[in-house]
Amino acid sequence: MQLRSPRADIVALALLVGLGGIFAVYFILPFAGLGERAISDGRVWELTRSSEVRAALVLSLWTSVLATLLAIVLGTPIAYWLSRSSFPGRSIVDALIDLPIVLPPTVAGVALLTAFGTRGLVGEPLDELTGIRFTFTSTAVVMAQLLVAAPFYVRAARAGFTSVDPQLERVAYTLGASRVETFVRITLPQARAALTAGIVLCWARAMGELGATLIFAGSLEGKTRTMPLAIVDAFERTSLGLSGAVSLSIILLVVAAVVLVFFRAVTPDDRGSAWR
Amino acid sequence: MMRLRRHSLALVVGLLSVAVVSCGDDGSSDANEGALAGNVVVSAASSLTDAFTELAETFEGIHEGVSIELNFGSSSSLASQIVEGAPAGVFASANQAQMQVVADAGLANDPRVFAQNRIVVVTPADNETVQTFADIAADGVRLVLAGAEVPVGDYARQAIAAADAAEPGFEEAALANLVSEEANVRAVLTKVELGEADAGVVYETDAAISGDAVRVIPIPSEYVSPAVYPIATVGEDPSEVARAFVAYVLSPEGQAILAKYGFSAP
Repeated sequence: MQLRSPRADIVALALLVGLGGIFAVYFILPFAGLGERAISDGRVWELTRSSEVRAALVLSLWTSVLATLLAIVLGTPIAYWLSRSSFPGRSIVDALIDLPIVLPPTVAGVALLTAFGTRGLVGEPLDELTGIRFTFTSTAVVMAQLLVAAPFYVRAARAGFTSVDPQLERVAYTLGASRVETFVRITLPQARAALTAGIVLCWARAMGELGATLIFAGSLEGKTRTMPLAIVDAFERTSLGLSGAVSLSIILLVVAAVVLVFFRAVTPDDRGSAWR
Repeated sequence: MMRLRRHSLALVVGLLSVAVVSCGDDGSSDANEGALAGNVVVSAASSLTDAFTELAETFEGIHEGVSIELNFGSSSSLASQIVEGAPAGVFASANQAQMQVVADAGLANDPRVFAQNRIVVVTPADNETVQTFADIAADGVRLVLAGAEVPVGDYARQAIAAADAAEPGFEEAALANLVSEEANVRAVLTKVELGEADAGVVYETDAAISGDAVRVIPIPSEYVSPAVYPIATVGEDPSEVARAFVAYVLSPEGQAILAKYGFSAP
């Protein structure tokens, strides 16, 4: 008796080729379109070297890296705590952290305004006491990115910490290691793949942030106009046609691809625990 | 495989006949209006949001078989969309330049001016920082404009440049106060309404919609020329519905609705 019938194999193969093929074509075509436009439109390469593009790229890189670092510093303790404790209402805390993933970013932008805007809950007293305002500043860009991107890191980190056997930590304690020491030397290395995946997702989301930034930070070259906002701005500029938007998109794609490939290369055994 | 193909053919034929039958139904039920039926996408400048929403509703009320899909945005982004092949039947722009972009692509049929507007400075009602147009160049004022190719942003920059000719240094000082370039006129208005900006430049009609939330400061007339709104059907073979809607906007009835929202006649 055969374990698998050949007929079932043919069905499986047909499904793989058919559905997989549709999926692949659908995902490749938009990028092919961008590439085709970049090659056929002479202005694209010239525009990639403009000072506006450079300003947007530099702003995007430093704000997204800063937002990711903040997500790591502020999110790791929460993620670890969520992975090690169980208490009534835990699912509510989980849901709260996931909320920005589900919400449209524009909602996040409006929410940020109601809290940190000039007439916001915190923004108004802060403005009156110190004269500090967040709206229209690069700080606002980082805040918008942190709100929408940090949940991706916290989710991945929580899953990573959950997969670390608590028994290992207990052994470390019995050997005299402190809590912090155990976390740094046992837990972190064990969860490394998941943490790396979370960092990449968080950074990618921060880099692509548009809606919340547009509403909370506005759009000004060199200050708040990140790559995605510059793409919107370029699309508005009919004198450039689609050339401006295409050249910015190409740069963003190349930068994102380089970073993704780099992290893929340095992440250990990422077929297993990471990218979940 | 063979059987599958026959099935899908039957399905296509079936769907087609349903479509044909339902089209016929729509036409005959609307006999007294010359069987005007179908739908059309109308891409209109953000500043036309309220007026065109009403125009579309009344037009649909007159022609029962007609449905109008409104697509609002800055005229520049709408022009970009149309040139890139977005399926618009009618384009209503807030300046001639963006209509020209569509016309240059061979897609605008006989544009006609249907309304005029004026730009003004708006400031939050409870904000005393800006009292006159000249104040937008004062130190520390947070000024919000629309992008340079968005019509209202273009008109605003023209006014600032005209003021600069009268008073050198004005343009530099005013543009140094710029804290954000917004995507369209409504986004500028919102930033002012929320009190995030001390001043913004919008159309008179938008300022009127926001009511008590903002204070309106006129721009000296020697610095501003009126904003003109052209409208045209789009594409080589404009539909009957698209042409009828353009005619309606230009008709006395359409003009009355536009006047209600503060637009002046061309």
